[in-house]
Amino acid sequence: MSDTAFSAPGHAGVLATQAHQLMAVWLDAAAGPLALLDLSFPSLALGGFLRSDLPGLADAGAIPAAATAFYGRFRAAGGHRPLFGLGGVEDAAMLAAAELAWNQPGRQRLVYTQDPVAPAILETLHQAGAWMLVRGAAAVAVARLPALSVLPLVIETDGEAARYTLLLPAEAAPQMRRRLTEAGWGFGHVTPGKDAAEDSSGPVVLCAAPLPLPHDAPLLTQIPASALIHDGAYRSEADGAYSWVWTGPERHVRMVFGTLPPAARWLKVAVIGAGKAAQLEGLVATLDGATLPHRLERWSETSAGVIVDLPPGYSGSPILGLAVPATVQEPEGIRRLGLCIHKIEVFV
Amino acid sequence: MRSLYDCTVFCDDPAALAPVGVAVRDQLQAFRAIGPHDRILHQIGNNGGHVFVLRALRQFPGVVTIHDIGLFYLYELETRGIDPMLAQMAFSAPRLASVYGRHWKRLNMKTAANYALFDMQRELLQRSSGVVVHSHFARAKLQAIYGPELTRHVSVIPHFAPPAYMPEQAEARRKLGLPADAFIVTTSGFATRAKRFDWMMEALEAVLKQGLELIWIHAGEERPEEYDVSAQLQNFPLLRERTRITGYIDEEALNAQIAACDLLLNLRFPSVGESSGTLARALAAGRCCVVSDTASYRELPREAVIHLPVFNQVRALVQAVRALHQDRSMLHSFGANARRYAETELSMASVAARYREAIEESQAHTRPRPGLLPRPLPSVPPILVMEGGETLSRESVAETLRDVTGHCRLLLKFRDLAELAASYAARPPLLAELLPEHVKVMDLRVLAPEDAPDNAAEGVPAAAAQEALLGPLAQASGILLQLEIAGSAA
Repeated sequence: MSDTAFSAPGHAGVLATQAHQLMAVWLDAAAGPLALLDLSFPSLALGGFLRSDLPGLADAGAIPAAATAFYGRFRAAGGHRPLFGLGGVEDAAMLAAAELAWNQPGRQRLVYTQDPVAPAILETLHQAGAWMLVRGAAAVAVARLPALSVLPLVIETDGEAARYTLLLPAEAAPQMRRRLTEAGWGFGHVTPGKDAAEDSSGPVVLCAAPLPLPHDAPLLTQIPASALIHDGAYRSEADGAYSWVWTGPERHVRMVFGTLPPAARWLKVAVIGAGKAAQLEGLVATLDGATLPHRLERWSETSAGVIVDLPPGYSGSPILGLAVPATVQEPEGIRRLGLCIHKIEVFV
Repeated sequence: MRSLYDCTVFCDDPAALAPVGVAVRDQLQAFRAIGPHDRILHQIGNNGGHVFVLRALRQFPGVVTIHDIGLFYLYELETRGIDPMLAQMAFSAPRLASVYGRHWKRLNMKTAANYALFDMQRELLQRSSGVVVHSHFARAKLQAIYGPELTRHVSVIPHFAPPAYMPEQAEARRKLGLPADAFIVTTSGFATRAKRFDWMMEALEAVLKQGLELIWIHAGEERPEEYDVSAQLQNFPLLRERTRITGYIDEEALNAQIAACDLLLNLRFPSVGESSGTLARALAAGRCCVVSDTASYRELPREAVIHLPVFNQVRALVQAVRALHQDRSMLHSFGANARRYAETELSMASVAARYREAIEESQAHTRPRPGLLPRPLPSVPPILVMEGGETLSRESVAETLRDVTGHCRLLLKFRDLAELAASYAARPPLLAELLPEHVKVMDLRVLAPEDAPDNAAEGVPAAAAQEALLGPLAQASGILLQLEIAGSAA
């Protein structure tokens, strides 16, 4: 770990991320169990904190075609599921999958987006009874949905305000306003907006101190193989709670973690196996497509922690890549294999 | 190029080596860094490792250097399945594709003719704002096939001679364990039929029979399935005793082999317009080279290489090898001229300057970059309409469907059912005759509004159903086809 003092990323970047974190905590406390569909891939601004098992794109037809093609390669949940928002038939199948939190009883469906949502998707989600939490300009388009109330939410931290809009059925709005107010008292000062008996259009404002940066717990978060969102690896495998994923058949695997916590400074990829030592020796790491130095914490000839230091001032949602010189034939199978990844840890 | 531009290389191999100051980036994430007016230069050859380049230049058109004039093999690797490949053949050479596509799809007949006849260059020519080839032969061939309009942006820039470290001959021989005073003849690369090992072995055997000693080294791999050098060598007993075949060697070892030789034989016949990187190295090393007097090799300076005629090749090669063996000053003179040519015309600075010129000229003709533009997902397949009757032909259908991929609907309109029936009778089977090989019929409906009974079971009159289906074409008679068209909408 670096001995240099922590240098904060851009002010707005820190606060934007902190706002997402606060929003996640606030919603979790107020709304009860949630099933989140986060349409802000690759940043997954809310999903990173609320552990969404449904990442997706708000409108694949509205972003550059090359970006759509690239994002379309990724598979969520350890490689077992495509992203939501790339095609009508697959999207419908995904929303119907029984194992998802989305379909578990007792959970409120919530969609998060920070971009305008494709009309067809919007309609589908509206019909599924989902609430929508919207950031930024997307609120204008989404607000046109019928029979939804608009509940503005503001998080003020250190003099900066992050604005969201929660859209939910009219009959649920007053109660949600109350719950948000009550939940907010737990970690900040809340201005609930106008009373429900009056014109309840005012925002609910949460004024909170920035979340403290951890100093005595260097591990910020870890992503098990079963939860990885990747391109260039097979489906994850598991033995009980222990999961792993083999990269291949391509030499280059890319992984998305969503938005990193503001204090994140380095990552460690637990490579618990490789076909041969040369795959670790000739490894190349990339960050957002550019090569990046890395170091190995050797555990054996074919296992190591691959450590990547984030560039100073880096904030946002990285796409981490690992490329091996060559893949090898699986000893008793047909797969071409690269690295066996157990988990990724994010450190301060 | 780095002295002329701020360069970034996008590649599918993050470990790729680049000169100092040139970043290497993941080509799949190029959309993060490329702008609509940035200068882009693609490098493409007939090689499986270039599939990503073909896909990238569709997203981000720019200038493309075509290293191989025939790209059929590349397209085979890039497309998945026979139908998309048939679509590409139809796009590249529509008239040929109707015959060769039918043979391939229906008779499973694909031969070397496919690779020779379908160069698959139309897409590159159309998509790119500039095209670079390495010889006037290559440009002339493209012009002859595709016409002046489509090839007006093609420039000729020779392949540069790489400034690799080439050891001195004596040093190279010492390292390779080769005799210092032997006359060494070298060939390199994959042993393919076009490299005319048959002429070479016959000629070298004849030289040996005349009492001149030599060693032949093939610095490269054999491809027995294409041309079995080792097996053929058995027919040449004198040469067999003096031959070494190295198998695969890395770049450093190849440079050493080239530096160690007296004479590099780089024959090609027939040539498809390719250029040889090995030859460029040999020229840079000041080696005397023999090439076939054909295609792009004809354009090499007469004083820098020896051109072997395409008739009486063996006899001519025997004479050339004898003369060079016996007159070392002539051998060295050609080598010196070769080095001078490499250091001037083929120098990095000279080639870079020509590239700059081609790139800057192409900026006046930039194409939109689909990779940077949103592409809304299509919802309802379009309806294309063609008039039935005598004007309907396979060529006209192919032309109508030329820019379409995926699902579509095609209405073949006839005056009435009687005309439709007459068309069928005149050209059975009509659809098989009309539709290109890469088009699949998913559904077919005969339309005859004046004859259709009401669809009482569904409670919707047929006319109303047809209205809903076809809108303004509701009164048409004909055949409505639901099609799936393979290909990449080149």
